[in-house]
Amino acid sequence: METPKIPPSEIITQPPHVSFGTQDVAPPSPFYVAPNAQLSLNTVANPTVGATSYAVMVRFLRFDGQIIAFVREMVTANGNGTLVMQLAEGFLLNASVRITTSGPFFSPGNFYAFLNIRQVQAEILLNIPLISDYVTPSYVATWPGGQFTQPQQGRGKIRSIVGTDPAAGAEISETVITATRWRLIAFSANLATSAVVGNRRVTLVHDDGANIYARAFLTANIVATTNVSFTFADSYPNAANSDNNQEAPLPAQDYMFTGFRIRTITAGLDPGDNYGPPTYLVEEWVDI
Amino acid sequence: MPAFRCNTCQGTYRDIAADGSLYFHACAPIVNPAFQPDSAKPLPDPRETIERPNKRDENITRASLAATTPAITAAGAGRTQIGP
Repeated sequence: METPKIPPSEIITQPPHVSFGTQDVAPPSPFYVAPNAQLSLNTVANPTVGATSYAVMVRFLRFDGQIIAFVREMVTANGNGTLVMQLAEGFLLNASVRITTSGPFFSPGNFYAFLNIRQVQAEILLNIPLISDYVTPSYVATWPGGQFTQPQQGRGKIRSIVGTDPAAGAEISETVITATRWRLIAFSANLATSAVVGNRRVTLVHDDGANIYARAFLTANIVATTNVSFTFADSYPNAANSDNNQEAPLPAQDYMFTGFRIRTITAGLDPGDNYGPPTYLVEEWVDI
Repeated sequence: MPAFRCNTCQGTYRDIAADGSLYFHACAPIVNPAFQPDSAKPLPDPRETIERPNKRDENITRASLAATTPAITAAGAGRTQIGP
C-alpha cells in the first residue's frame, strides 16, 4: 500500500501591512523650518549671578540632505540677553541650551532660557516655543524631550545671604532684589544693647516697599547691656532661653516679591544699641 | 570681596557673597519722628517708619536689567570702600 503524501505546510504568517521607503525618506523631525525662520534664544537671570556665558547647540537637516551641527556661545555681563540665528530651510532635529560659566550660584531659580523659532507667516510674527526652562551647568535644557516650566514653578535656589551690618542705633532692613521672588525660610541676627536702662522689644516686619503686611514678635524683652541672638523661622515656636537666645515663627508660605522688605522695628531702641549683620535663608526664583 | 560703608546710613556690607553671588545694599527706613497716635505718650512711636533722607538703594532698576552697566535705584550719598 502506498504511503499517502503529506501536503506541504501552509504558510500562515500574516503578511506585513507596513512597507518602508528606501529613497527620499522623510526626516525624523516634525519641525519644518521655513526659509525665513530664525532661532531666537532669550535668557533672563536675577542680578545675583553676574557675568554669564551660555551656549545653544543645534542639529539641523538642511534642504540638501546634509545634517549640520553648530554651537553659538553668548557672553553677557549679567545673564540677560538675546541671541538670534538665521536658519536655512530644513528640519530642526535637536536643540539645547547650557551654561558654560562655572559657579555654585547657578541653580534652578537663577538663570532661565527661552528658545523659540521666529517666523513671519502671512505678515504675522510667530514665536514657536521650543524650550522654556531653567538651565544650570549640570542641567541642559533640550528640545525635543525637555519640559516647559514657568520661572516661578518648582523648587528654587536655596541661598544663604549675609546682609548689611547696620550702624549703631539703626534697624535692619533687607530688600528683595530686582526680578526675583523669595520665600523667606529663616532670618537670624544679633542685638547688643547699650548700658542705657530700658526694655527693647524686637519685631520683624514684612512690607511691600511701603506698607507693612506682617509683624512677628519676640516674646521676651531685651534689657540693657545684653547680647541677644534671635531667629525667626518657618515652624519655629515662640520661645526664649536663659542664654539670651530667642526664636519666633514666620509664615510657612512667606513669599516676597521685588522691592518687598524684611526689617526690624525695635521698641525702645537706644542710639547705642547695635545690630549685627543679619543672615537669612531664602528660596529664590527669577520673577518676570 | 571688598567691604563698603554706605555714606547715607553708615551700614557696612560686602558686594560679593562667599558663594560668588552678588549683594545689593539698601538703607533701612527710620522712625517717623512725628508719629504718635497716643497723645499720652511721648514722641515718637517706633511702629511707623519713613524712608531715610537721601536713601541709597543699590538694587538695579528693572529697565536696566539687561544693560551692560545696569543702573542702581538710588545713589544716595555714595559709599566708601573700607576693606579688601
